[in-house]
Amino acid sequence: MLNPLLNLLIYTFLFVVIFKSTAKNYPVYFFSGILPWNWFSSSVMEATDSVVSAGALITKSTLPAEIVVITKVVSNLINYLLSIPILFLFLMFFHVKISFIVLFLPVVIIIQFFLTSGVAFFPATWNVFYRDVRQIMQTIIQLLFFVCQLCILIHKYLLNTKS
Amino acid sequence: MPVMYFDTQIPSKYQKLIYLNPIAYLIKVYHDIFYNNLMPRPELLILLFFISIVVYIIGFNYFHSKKDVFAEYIMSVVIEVKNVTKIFKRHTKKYFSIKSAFVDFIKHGRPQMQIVKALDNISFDMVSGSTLGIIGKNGAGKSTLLKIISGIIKPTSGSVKVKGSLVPLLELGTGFHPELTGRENIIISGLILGLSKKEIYKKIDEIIEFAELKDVIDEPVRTYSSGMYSRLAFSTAFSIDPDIIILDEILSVGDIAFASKSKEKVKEFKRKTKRYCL
Repeated sequence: MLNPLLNLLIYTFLFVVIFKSTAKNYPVYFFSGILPWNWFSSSVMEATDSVVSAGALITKSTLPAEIVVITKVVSNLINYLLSIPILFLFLMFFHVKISFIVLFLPVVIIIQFFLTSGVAFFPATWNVFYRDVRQIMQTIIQLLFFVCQLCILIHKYLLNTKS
Repeated sequence: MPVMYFDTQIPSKYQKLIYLNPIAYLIKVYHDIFYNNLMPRPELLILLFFISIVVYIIGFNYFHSKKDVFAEYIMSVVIEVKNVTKIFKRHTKKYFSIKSAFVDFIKHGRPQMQIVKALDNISFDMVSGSTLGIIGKNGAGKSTLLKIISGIIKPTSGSVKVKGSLVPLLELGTGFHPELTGRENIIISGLILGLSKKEIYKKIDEIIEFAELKDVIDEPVRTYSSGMYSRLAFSTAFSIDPDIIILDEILSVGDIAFASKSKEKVKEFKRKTKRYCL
């Protein structure tokens, strides 16, 4: 929760104050993308370790092991849901119009939930057999970060619509 | 940390590649919803939904198929004893001079050896986090087995594999010197058990506290009563923090109060999810 906020402060300072970025409402753009990204990346990272660290629980009880992975995704989902009100505060602060399109949000969240837990099952399994999967996953997540439009500014949206 | 760049800086043939990644597309949808006020295209949402469900099902089944193998990777075997047999050869007669041995050799030929089979084909595995008790009558070979596990004696046949650091506490007060003070003995005994000098100095007050020997700790050990002696030895032995610990009948030391206190200590040790062997 705190982490994306601090991140946001850094990026805002960097791009609004130092570089005098011409990007319109840059903090909103960044914040709306980084929150679901954090949900995805921290779920996958935590799930990677989850099976190994819950070892006793899995081997000594009849609890289905899948639950352990899913809990990580759900707990990060709750984090994300809690940060949405702050995002709305941002939207209001920067006078971004909030329309009925926001109603699509639950659909997207459901899609992301299945996608994240589906992806998270793989490193969780591999990490049981090879414990250095964690290090590899960190690199992969970093790679995905660069590819996922978080640091890509869409020219069309950010520059041309500057009012 | 990430750098920022514009999409126009990416060659156009790679731009499409980015959107093949469903997570990138999802983030774009979030941007559309909050930032651009754009309606996400329904057919793409449905496609995305199907992709995510497929990924979920594949992931779930993959995880499920490997689930049965997890146990043996998570609970690693720390002590593996395989077909251990120990045979002691004992001389039936003991000679204390070469002369009598020689005379006997002339008279009766080579001296007969009595063969004692202390351990007969013993195998077991011990997984991490577990406790194993070995019980039996006097002379059943319990101590022999523990000595073999800790590597003090070698088995006649079979193999023993131990993973992690192991501290055998087979006898209390190994390396205690009667002329040295209690404090010096703690240091020496700690060094024998594998602690560094710094670690011992860090722990020494705690050890003395636990042994309840504050008043006499600077007296030579020979002046101690046997109860004080074993209390000191036990406290020193338990100040170390090994992966595996082997105890051989050393819990019944000191008076009743100290015995229960040391049992508490063993329980606490067990709670720390280490493993030990009694």
